[in-house]
Amino acid sequence: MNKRFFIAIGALASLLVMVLSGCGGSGGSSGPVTIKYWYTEGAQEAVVITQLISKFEQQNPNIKVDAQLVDFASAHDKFATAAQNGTAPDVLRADVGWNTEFAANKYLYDITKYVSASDKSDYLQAPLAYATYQGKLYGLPQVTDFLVLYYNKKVLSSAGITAAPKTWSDFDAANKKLTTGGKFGWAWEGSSYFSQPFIFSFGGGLFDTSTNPPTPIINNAGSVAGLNFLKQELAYAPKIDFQNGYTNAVKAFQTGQAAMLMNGPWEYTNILTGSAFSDPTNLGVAAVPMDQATGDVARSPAGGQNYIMYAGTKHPDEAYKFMSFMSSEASQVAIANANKTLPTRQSAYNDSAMASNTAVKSFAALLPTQKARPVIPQGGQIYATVTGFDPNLQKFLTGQEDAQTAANNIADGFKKLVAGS
Amino acid sequence: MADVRFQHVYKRYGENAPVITDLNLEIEDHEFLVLVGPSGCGKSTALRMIAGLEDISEGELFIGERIVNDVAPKDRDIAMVFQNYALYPHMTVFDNMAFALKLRHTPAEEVGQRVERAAQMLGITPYLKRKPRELSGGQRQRVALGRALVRDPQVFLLDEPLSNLDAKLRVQTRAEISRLHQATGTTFVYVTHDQVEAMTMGDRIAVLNAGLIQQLGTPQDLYDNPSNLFVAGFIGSPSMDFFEVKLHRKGDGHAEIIIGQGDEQQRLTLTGHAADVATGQAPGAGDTSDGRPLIVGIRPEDFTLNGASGGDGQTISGVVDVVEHLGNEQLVYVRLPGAYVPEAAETKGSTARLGPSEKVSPGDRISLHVDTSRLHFFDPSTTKSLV
Amino acid sequence: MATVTGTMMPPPMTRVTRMRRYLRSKWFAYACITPIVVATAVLIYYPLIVGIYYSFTNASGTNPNNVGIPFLNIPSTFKFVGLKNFFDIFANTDPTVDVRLIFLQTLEWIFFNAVLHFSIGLGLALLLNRKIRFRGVYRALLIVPWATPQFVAAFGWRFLFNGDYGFINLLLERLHLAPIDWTGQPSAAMAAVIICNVWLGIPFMTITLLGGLQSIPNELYEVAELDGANGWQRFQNVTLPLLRPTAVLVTMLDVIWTFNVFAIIFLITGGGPYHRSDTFVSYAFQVAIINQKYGLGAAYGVIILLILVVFVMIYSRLLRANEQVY
Ligand SMILES: Nc1ncnc2c1ncn2[C@@H]1O[C@H](COP(=O)(O)OP(=O)(O)O)[C@@H](O)[C@H]1O
Ligand SMILES: [Mg+2]
Repeated sequence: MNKRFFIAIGALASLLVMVLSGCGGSGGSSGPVTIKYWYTEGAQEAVVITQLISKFEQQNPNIKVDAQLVDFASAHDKFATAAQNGTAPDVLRADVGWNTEFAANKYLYDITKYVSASDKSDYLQAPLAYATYQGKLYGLPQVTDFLVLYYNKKVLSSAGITAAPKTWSDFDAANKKLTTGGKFGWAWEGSSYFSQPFIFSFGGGLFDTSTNPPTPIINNAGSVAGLNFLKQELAYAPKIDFQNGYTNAVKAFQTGQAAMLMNGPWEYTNILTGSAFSDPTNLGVAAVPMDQATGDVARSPAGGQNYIMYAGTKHPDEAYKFMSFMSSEASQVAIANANKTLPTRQSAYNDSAMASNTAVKSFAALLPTQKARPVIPQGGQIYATVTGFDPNLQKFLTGQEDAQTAANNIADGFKKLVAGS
Repeated sequence: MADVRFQHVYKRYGENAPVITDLNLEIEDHEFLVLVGPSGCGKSTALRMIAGLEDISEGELFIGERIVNDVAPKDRDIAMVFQNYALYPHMTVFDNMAFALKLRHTPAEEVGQRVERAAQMLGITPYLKRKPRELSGGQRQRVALGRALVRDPQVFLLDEPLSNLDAKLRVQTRAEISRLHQATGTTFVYVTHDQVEAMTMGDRIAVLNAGLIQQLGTPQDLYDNPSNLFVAGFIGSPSMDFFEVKLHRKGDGHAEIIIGQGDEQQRLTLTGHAADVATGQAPGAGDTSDGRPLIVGIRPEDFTLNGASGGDGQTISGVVDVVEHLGNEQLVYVRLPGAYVPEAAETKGSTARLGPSEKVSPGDRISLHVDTSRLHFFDPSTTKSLV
Repeated sequence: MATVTGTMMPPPMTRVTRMRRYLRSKWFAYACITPIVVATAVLIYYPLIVGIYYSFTNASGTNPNNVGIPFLNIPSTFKFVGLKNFFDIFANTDPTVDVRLIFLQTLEWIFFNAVLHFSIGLGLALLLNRKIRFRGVYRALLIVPWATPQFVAAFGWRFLFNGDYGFINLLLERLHLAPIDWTGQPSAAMAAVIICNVWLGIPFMTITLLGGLQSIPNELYEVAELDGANGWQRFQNVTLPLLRPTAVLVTMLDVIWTFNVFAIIFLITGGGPYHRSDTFVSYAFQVAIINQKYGLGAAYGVIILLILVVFVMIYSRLLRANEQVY
């Protein structure tokens, strides 16, 4: 065989064995203890993190923190590989979706014993749920997020709508009034993650995690009703581009082409750069509307980041000290003020230093609508195309399948996901 | 069958000086005309203009009575043989030869017959089913000839067809092409840079240099009466020896030439035709006044070894440089005074062609007898022959 | 008896001596290539064998290989499942995807790319082979797609295909034509990824075919012209047959290359809508990397490998056949 053959095989081989390979080295322990930390914030957000780390090192001269910036997109695989090699960092900032997976794979240190009861009760419920697996704590929540209803105050009031829609029927009525002359009532991102407020608010869900294995409930009556309502309201939104839906929706809202948008606090600053919000007070923030019959249930999917500790750490005490410092009230306030992200401690919201942070304040009021996504080891893959969630949603939205069929198909995919083969 | 006529033909590429300048040439019906000249002189260009592969910038080209400047190549009824054969590599020998006929919708039976006949003439019948890559160079050359032959064209054009063959094969194929010309009686225009090919094959030869025709004539004519220094130097192998001389008109009506200067000076008294030319008695001899500078040409075979040294006015002497024995003769390179080397000359210094039995070795000082009636005279400024 | 043996084979000593002499003269050469042989074996065969091994297991992101952490004393939890992964693929048991469609789409993907690459590439090569003005500029421009990394090209085209803000749909709107639903309509999505890949592949095709065209001696065209062939006949009887070896090889390379593409599909349509613009390779990428189904993904990898082996065998066959054409 010739060289080309080998090249072809080599290319394939790399596809075949994504688990092997990886790098990293572990620090020794002589004199002061060194804690290795991987953080995943963007360059701008990372400024406050490095400041906090120096502060921690000043307060704890016996502990050095070897902090490394790791690209968020590759952090999951990098940590998984390093965990298997025994070269993972002592502490990692992990997406809430990875926490359970890593815990189930036994990569994480059980920190239950370190966390006091008062501490536990200070953390918000949904974020803390992500850090809990089989009754044990495997992480400390850093920041949280969820979806809210952003709206263009000027446009709504000039259409005679005085308050943000509270219920889906308000939302529908508003859409009918707002959708005229090339403008749209709202814009939607067009992906599975953003269909969750609809599914949750009508009493549906993704999984019932009380059973083992978890049972898909994406095809129950509430979920299907939510999907049907979603499709009905898409008549008042720009046509969806499944691949660019997210940026298109934000852009439509920013430019005033659409009057409402469901998105998270992470887009807050970006939305304000849009032409429709040159006056920042024009941006309204409200809760995701509810279904009148179902009531004011938790319906907004929560996301966020946790600090987690590697099971193979040689210095769990020092590592925990670092984690708890980073997730302390003072640190959370510092991060929230610097990055306009949402703290995970109740006390942080009440902190006096937070008083002037209007953005955080307006989100704080909506925190009760937060709903934790299924806390299962496969949580990270729920929204990947291979579960059939997005593909079937697309079939439903383009009229290839009705809501029930699509939901049943997604349920089949979910079943396969948790069956683990 | 047709004649080919260039009338004031020019060929220019872009703004550059013309590659062919005012070409006037009549190639007669049934004639074998050789276009010869050094590489880059415009031979291929001229030939390709006949084929229609190059546009004519100015002037007219006739094939028969027809002006063909704007006639497409395929309508000129000519066939061309290229230096590297240009056989279709994916076709068998048969298909290569039959291709033109097939394009003309010649009936298959006739195609077969004509290819067969041409193949027989060239002795390539056994290879008809082979692809070109399965043939030797000589066989490929014959296929290329055969492909042209099958067409039975009015004019046969050959562009250096032998230059990719080894020496022995070249001599063989040379004869074969001459035979082919006799057999078909078609007009042949043959381009070569090799004057031996030109001399052996051509009915007439046109010598081309830098886009200009230098002389047109039969091989013998060109050899005996070269019209200028270029032709004199180009035709003949080894080439003519040249000397820068002064003409001396003696009081007795005789003339001599003075070769070399000072101590090295040697004199030759002119006789016969050469004397007539130098004394102005031959027609068109031009300026023949005393003291006139001239370039004299002596063919190597006009030297003979002379035992007695000098005094008769027919002898010059020099030192032998190199001796080449060829069996039937020997070429002796001699350092002679006043030797002049034109650009086109094949050899440097002077060459004498001596009998095989003469005993000459390098370093010897020898005396050479010169046939002074056979000298050629050229004007140093115009390079033209005095006749 | 002894004589017979003696004549039939040389005494063993002789052979050993010869071997020793051979090694003594060649040891340096062997020493030089040993690291490369070892590196090749480690870099290529080890991952390959591990990959094939995984294809017979149910390894996944939640069921990983833990053998690397003996100090944690965690046993590996994935199991050997025999041919189950292959059975699942061939029996088309996955409720979320129709493997037959993916297979057909793979053929569609290869077919349209190969045909368009070749016909456009040949057209451009024929144009560039003429003495046209600014030929150098065109050739330089042609390098642009070639020099563009796949993912950059994919992002660029993704912008153009954007349903609301993309150049193409804005242009259609300007022309009062209906916008195209590039990501929601299966055939439009397939067209979108093919367009991008065609754009990327044209330069290679054009340059290679141009090389092929330029290696055809000009005399053959001249002789054909003298033989009475018109332009089309020259194309048929000279250009096409002489270009054939180049064309066949470059098309085969193109098929292999196109088959292996996943970045373009993944970035422009994500294989969607509902996997209708996925190919084997782009789908396997999603299974293995995005969904962390390492075992199943490896099984797809093995199938892809087998398909590639067939392609490569055809390619080498053609390569050998071509050496004997002229
Ligand atoms: N296409 C062309 N463009 C410019 N110059 C050319 C071209 N073809 C030939 N020439 C020039 O014309 C002259 C004559 O060329 P050619 O007829 O091929 O010479 P030869 O006598 O060796 O066959 C050469 O100086 C060559 O450089
Ligand atoms: Mg030439």
